[in-house]
Amino acid sequence: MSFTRLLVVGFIIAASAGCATSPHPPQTITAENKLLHSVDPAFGLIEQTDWAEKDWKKYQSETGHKAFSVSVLGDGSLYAVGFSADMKSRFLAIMASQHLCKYFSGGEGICRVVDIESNPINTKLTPSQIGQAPSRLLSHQAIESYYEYKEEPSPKAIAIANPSGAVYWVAGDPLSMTKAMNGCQASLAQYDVNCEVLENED
Amino acid sequence: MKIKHLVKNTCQTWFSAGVLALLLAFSNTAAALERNLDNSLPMYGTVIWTTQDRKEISDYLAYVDTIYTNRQAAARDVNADGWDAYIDGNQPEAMRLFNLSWLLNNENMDTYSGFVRILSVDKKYKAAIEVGELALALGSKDSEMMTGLAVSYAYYAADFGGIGNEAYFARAHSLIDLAESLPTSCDVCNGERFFVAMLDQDYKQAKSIREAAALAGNPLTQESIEWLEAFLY
Repeated sequence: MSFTRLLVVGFIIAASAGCATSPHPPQTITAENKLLHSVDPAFGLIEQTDWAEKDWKKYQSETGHKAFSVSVLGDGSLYAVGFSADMKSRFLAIMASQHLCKYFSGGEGICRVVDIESNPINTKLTPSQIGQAPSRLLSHQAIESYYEYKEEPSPKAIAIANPSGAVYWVAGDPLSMTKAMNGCQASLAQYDVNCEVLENED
Repeated sequence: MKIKHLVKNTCQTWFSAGVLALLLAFSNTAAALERNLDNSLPMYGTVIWTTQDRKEISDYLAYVDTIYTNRQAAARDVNADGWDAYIDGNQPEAMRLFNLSWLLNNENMDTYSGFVRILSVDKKYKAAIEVGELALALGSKDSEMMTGLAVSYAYYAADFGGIGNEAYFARAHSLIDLAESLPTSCDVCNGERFFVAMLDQDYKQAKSIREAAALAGNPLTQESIEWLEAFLY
């Protein structure tokens, strides 16, 4: 029997360009970011920019370590946003949101982080499982998928997308490695560069 | 300048930094690691590591683990050597060392300060801003990094004639405000605020900064005063 699982994208992203105004304020301002928000005018622009506010709302519904970046043009307007969520550390969340903001801005404007949050995650993973998982797995969902893979019988293979850390695995098939790589390639996010085999068992 | 940082190092640190630098210079692991990596960019340009890179990074870290009890200490020592190279005017070597340090501990804010400083001196202002903004988000409380970032913003904005870049000048001013609000003293804040005002062609503000600095008994440099006077008179 062959099992195939499409993984979970390590980075959750959003980006678009456009211009519109909306009077609706962002949903919440956490205590952790109160100072950041109050001193950074770029944060206030999110609520005045429809497409950015939509992404902000999506971001707000996410859990775990997450960060939200905006690309600001010289005139102060927003050009693009990027955000990460469910990352296994605050550091990774910040790196990922900046990476995605830069990707989606295409070099226009300058990206900066305007929100960082570390919320409880809804996961069955133990801290030890998270610590022992391969370091290249960046999100809790990817780690969960990895442990599901580990439970499967050989032959099996798991491929990982760079740099998002999304995984794709196939088990119970003599062609597991090829199929895992093909599956990973087929589901590659636009901001990913390539896929590699993370583990393979004949 | 980072002299303050270097002065803080103990003799023991200097000794171990020297030992580590020597070992790094001659170690096969560091050399192998660096063959394929671009040391002209901070964080190696946050490249997508190849399988071979990963193996070599792992070997390098294992090698450093045989010398140091923890990687944070090793990173601090490599940074000390990085600042030393920077002060000696050897920026490529400084970047190389800060990159090695980043592999050892990617949350050491001093490493990001080093990246910002080198990129600013190399006039790579946008790259300096990107690394500086990353450092701020990661929690840097280094007032010199913040003012360096502010000046990079001002240079970057001024490079395009300053027109339509008001937000970048505003960001530069707010970063200096942030540096001044830190509990640690910011010796360079006044001078850098003056610099930002000059690049923003706000000579009125530059003049008032000069006057306030003189009243406070901490006058700006003669060079700064002459720069301002060239525009005022």
